[in-house]
Amino acid sequence: MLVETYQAQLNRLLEQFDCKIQLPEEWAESFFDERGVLPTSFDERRQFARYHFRGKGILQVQRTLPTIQRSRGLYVIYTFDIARGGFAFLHTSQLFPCELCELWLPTQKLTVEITRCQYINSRCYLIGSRPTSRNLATLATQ
Amino acid sequence: MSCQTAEVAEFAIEDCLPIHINTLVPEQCIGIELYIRDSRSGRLRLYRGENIIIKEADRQRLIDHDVRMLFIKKADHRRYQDYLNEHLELVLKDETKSVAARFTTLNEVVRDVMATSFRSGDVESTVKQSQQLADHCVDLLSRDDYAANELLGVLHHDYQTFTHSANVTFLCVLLSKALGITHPDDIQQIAIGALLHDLGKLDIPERILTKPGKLTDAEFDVVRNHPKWGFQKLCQRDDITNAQLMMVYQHHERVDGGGYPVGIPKAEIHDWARLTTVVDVYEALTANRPYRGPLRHSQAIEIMERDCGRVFDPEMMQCWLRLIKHN
Ligand SMILES: [Fe+2]
Ligand SMILES: [Fe+2]
Repeated sequence: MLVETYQAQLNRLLEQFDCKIQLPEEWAESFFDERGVLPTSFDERRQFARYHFRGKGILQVQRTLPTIQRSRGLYVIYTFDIARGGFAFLHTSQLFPCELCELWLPTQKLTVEITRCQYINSRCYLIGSRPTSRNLATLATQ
Repeated sequence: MSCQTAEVAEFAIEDCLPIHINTLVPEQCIGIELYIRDSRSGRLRLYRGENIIIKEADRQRLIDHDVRMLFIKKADHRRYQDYLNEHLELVLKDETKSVAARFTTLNEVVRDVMATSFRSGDVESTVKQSQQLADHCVDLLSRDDYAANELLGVLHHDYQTFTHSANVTFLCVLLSKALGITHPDDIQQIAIGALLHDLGKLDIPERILTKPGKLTDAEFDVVRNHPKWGFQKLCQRDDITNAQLMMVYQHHERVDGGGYPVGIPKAEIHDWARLTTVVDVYEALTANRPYRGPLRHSQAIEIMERDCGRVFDPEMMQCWLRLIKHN
């Protein structure tokens, strides 16, 4: 029996689910072309260098909070940027600090804890997260 | 001899918590050692042993000497809170006292309880205390034989986080009732949420909180984290509702989306958070700041009217203005 590779599994999921994220106009044109280190002037107070990390992934909320209701559905996300301490992505709805999510990223699966959330538009939130499972250093250089 | 005793009982101020003398019920034994600050050394020495009754004359003597605060050991903070809760009931039910007089006591007790809880860093105790105090606030404010301005007049304005939290709580209860929120459970929950709304400020260094002057960008970044930090302290609890959590998390959001931590617009901000924003800003404007005195009521209103529809929900703001102007 053939074992489906991670890549194939991810691609199958990406085809199966519609992406509902609405990229703001100013990002839409070159969103997936951005590469390399973000200029430090972008945010000088950051501790570690951040890298553009643009692609598609899948999110599933693994553990929410006692007062929040969420479905266990799968959602397409856009990966955004990555640093030693964390990883950011775009999602269609707001996530709250301390929620745990499983992410299918282009090269690996990752469990993250949400650390912050920024509203971009009603169908686009920039979510900051911190991996609970492994260091992101290797991912950042891939 | 007495000198030696005083020396043995001396404490560094960091090991103790300040309490307001008005929270001590005369002719009662508090059951906790009370310390007083030595004006020369700045250190604390024993004022009364745990079994000594404080008389009205003692309290008066302290006032005559301009002493308003005594101190208790940090380890005694829960016993002190139990004492307050027990005696608060008696004071609040005393129909021989005016509502305003009882409100003054309640206000001082709320400030002290929140101060000791906040300073102890004990979230469990802070939440439990908030629940008990909210009951008292709602009970007293559910009467209709007082005028809101009578109560506004007795609030302290020293801009300590717990004074602010106590004031915001009373004001939130007044505004919720004016907005037509009538169910006692809702009002009680709003009062608890208001008491806890700035819980995250516990993690902001005192140096920043009391800085006289404009904050640097980096310092302001630290301050901007407090709604998130408060949320993180409370979000796993099952005795806090979603609406209360949102009061903590969203009270610095603006209806035009320019607030923090998320920057969501009006439609996504919880009603109770929008309600908190109105009284939070009003309270902050009318409080004493390290770098300025309190603004007059009319100045505060003028500033808030300018921001109506951008920062504040216009409907709630109108209701607030009607409430305070009317009174
Ligand atoms: Fe606040
Ligand atoms: Fe506040």
